[in-house]
Amino acid sequence: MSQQDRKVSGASLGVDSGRAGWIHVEGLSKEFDTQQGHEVVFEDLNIDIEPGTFVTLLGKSGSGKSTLLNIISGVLEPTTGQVRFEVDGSEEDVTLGHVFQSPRVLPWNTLVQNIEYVHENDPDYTRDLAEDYLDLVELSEHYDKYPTQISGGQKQRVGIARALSIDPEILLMDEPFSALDEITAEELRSQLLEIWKQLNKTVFFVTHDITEAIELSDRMLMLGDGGIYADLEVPLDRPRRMDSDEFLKFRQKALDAFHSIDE
Amino acid sequence: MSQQNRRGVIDTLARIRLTDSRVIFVESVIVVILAWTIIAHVFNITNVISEPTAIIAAMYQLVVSQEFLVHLVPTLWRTLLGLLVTIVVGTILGIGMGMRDWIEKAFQDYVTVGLAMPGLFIAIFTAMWFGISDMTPVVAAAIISFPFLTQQVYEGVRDIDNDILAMSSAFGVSKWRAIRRTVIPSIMPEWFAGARYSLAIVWKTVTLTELVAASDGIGWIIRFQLQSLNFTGAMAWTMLFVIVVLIVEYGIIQQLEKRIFSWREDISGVMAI
Repeated sequence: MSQQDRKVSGASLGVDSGRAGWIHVEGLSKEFDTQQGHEVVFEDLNIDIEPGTFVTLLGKSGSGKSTLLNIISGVLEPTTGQVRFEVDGSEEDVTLGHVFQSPRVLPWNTLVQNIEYVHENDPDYTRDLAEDYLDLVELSEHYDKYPTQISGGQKQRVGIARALSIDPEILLMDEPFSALDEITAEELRSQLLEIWKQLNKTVFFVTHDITEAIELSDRMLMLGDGGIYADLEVPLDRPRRMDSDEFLKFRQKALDAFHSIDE
Repeated sequence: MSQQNRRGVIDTLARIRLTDSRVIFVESVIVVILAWTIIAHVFNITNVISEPTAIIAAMYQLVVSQEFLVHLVPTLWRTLLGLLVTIVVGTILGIGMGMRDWIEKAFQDYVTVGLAMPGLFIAIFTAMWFGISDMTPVVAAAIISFPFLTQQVYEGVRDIDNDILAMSSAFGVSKWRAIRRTVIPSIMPEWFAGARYSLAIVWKTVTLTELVAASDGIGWIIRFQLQSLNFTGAMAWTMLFVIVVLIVEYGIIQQLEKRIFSWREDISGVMAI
């Protein structure tokens, strides 16, 4: 069966493509005690992210993007405030999927085994499920290969497939394409948008690349000066053309907002 | 055969001679045997270093008569026991030291001393404690070799990729699953290298200790041959022991290594070796 034949849609995966979650950030602050003294990363953040939207978080280095993502994902505790998730009016059993800057795949396991690893005690897990998600990210030819036998871009696709395979309502992505070359990154962005359109998840995507943010998202949050400095709705129709006048105008507006942080 | 074909055959054979490791090994053995024979005859010392043909004949006799097994089996048994003790103690202690500061602080100095202590001292002490028995070579081998495995495992635990552990935590993977599927595979390269080195030390220590504190085994029989001034016999036993060690290395260890590490990239292609 050719790769084209094995292209999988969300429906064929049996995934309820309507289940996406809210993210509510309420009064969030984070402070650290460092050798240089007391540092306030951000304070009193309030953000509401609607289900099914693609939201990017931008900021300069050291602005606290990863810190905010780590608090949302539960890795770090906030100093004050809270993060709540909600699906269909309920706050229970909301699943978060994580895609990291480096793929963090297990090199001693095949691609299928890497997906299986995060399905502990999952009665619904089958090898077919892993294969379906690998098909979704166009890795049909590589089910039983090891990570050493595939490229960096392909490893990152495994990371995406792994995160999607647990059927999360919310996908958290921490600069997932920043370590890749531009051609591979562009391929993966297109693929991510295709998958997002099919599966309709809430995506919270951290990036330092304004062009990437505009290409991907419905809404851009800029973190700086201890808070959300700018909150921009992206008014462009999809698919977005990076050479169009509208794209370039909006990019300039976003750049101006970005550069005005800390002025 | 045309001249061109003949040239091609010659070039192919020359390339094999220079690049095939098995051919090179066989050639080196032949060279050593020839040089040995020549030296023995030129300096008329065949009664001291024996001719290779005499040694090979003695080896054949030992194998055919199965006398070789009488002493090989006890040595193998002691080696296996010594290695098992080394693996259990070295692995548990190495993981403990790598995961808990207080264990590391409590045992690091003992491991350091163990690494530096001459094996002969340990062999003598164990001979004094246990006398002529199986315990002497087994305990001596374990005491001498476990610090090496401990140190390797400890380094392996410290080098575990924390990003992978963080990924496991982010996906809600349980601690035991994470240990089984990430920590243990992660330390396997260091563990395997440590275990392999420990096996080499165990082989040496067992046979060395058999010299002084056993009534059978390869070490004992070699000492017996030397005391009888039978250099041919001593060399025959030594060569047979070397062959067993090589069979274990190529037939067991390297096959295990290929299986366990089948996921690793073949670096020989990458480095154009």
